[in-house]
Amino acid sequence: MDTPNPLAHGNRFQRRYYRWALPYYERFGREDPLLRERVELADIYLYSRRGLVAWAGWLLCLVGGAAWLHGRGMGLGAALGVAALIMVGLTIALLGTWLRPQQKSGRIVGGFMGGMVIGTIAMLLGLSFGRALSGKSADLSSSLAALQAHAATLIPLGLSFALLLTGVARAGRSARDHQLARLKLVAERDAAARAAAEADLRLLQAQIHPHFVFNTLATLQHWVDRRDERAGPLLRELTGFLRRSTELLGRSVVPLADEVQAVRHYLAILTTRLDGRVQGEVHIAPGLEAEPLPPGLLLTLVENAVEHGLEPKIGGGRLTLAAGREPDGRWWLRVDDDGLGLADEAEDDVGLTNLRLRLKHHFGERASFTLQRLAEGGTRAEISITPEPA
Amino acid sequence: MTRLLIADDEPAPREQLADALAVAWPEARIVASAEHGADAWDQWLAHEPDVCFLDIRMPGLSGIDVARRIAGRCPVVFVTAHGDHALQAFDAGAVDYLVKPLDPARLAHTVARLRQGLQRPAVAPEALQQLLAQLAGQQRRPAWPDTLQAGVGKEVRLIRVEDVIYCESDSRYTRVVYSDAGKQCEALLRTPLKDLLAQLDPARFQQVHRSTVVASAQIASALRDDDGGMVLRLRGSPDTLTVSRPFQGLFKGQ
Repeated sequence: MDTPNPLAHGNRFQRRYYRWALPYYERFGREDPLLRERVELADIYLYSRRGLVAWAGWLLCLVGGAAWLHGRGMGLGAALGVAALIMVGLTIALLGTWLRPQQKSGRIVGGFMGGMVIGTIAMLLGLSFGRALSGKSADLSSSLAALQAHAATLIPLGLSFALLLTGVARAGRSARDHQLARLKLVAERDAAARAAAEADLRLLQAQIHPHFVFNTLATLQHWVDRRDERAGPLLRELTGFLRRSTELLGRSVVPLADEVQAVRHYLAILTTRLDGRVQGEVHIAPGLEAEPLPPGLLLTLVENAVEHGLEPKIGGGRLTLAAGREPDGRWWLRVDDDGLGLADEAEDDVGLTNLRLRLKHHFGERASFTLQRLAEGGTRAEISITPEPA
Repeated sequence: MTRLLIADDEPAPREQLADALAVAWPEARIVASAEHGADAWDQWLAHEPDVCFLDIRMPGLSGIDVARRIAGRCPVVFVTAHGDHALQAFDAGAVDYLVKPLDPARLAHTVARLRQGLQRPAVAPEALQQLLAQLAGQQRRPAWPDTLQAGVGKEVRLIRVEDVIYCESDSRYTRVVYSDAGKQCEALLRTPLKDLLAQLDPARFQQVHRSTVVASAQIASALRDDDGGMVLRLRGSPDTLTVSRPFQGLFKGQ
């Protein structure tokens, strides 16, 4: 159930009932959570004010049935007893059918018919036994004759009740289907929310660039320990990088120029750390500085090129970041590296999967992202964006 | 005297590790300092050190690739900038790992553990290999090249990797022996063998000596001689290749 059971916080009677019923609810829940929900809903109805109507109706039926039997010449006590027996039996059949409608209708009706036959035999025996006690003839045939006299009323009554049961079973099944559909929807909504939260967390982690920062700190630590004068400029670049990249966090769009500035710091730090083994270049065509981008995309591309192209390559490497505009207004961003190319079966890692998602989310069909092997070795990552029609 | 190998592709962290080890483990000596993974493996074969400190992200071969090749023959300590989640599996004591920048207290702890461990046999190598294989599976692989480029006079010859029979180190170059239309040919590659090794798929090529790599499919038989040496006979070539001691375990016979 989506909401707590109101009986748990109701009046004294309701609270006591709830405390008594809770272990049973839990037992049903272990077997079938849907059954538990149905039982609880039925209880909430029966043990609140609205349920009084049902109780009153039930009592009325009982009294009516007893009066009818009494009118047919049965003793008052016996009539009440028989009516109560029948009513309890019928109630159990109805409630059971409503609560567990997944059973086949044939079984429900079959069970009810079987119950009727057994009940009839039991009643016959009971009647005979009663007559014997009261000193009348204990002849079975006279009881049978008494029953036959009522058969014309009892058989249609029984059949119509069986019909009622199938109706209840059908209604119960459709209610159960609704329940199932609702539960599935809730589960799907929860899963989607969880996936979104995890994606956000990963993105946040990626934007802190822990691997890059700690590697830089390792070099800095060493240079500080050794009083190496390269420590100062490197620290300044790291500060600049952290300032830029953290300012980008939490904004929905940033101008291209801000991202490029973060990339410049990143490349400067990398070149210093690797003692010139990796070199970077940046060429941004004028007029593109203010183009909006979701933050962190460009850094993701640059990191990807370093991590998968340049870092695994023995010897030097070069990374080029370029941005330009086509005559038709479309503009592009390219990150080229001359490192190890992509494996043909290479799959996107977390960073690129995220990048595709965010591009799609932000630009829809206006943006495209491609990753290709360059003929001369290395990889080109390209984002291409068609401006919004004015 | 304990002999150490350290490997990191960045100069400053490598020097920092060397400095810190000099303090934390004065009776140990660094016998090899490698600048990338392929270099680390080559130096391991050359020196067979007692303990290796390997950076994980390195050019050529990653620290994990190198550890897989070492295959438990000496303790490995991984050094990494950021606690990759997978590494926490090693906290159980299978292999140690350190984070950069190094913390002297943490390094001292590692050294103490290593000193104890060196007197005791290492962890079950199968379990270790399995763990390393799992880690290696999480790395993204660059493409294996289809061809090798060799200079023959003024000509640049493209040799299909599938035609290669074996490669042999020839000082700073690599001699490639390959079959061309059924004929055995050879060419000289400008890449040293240790670097070339990182470009050859380990599923298809087998190193059998510090200076020899052979296509696994070309191995016909391995012959043990009386002096504890081993020689390989090949399918596509009359040449024989020497298997050095660290690689003899590959040909145990069942």
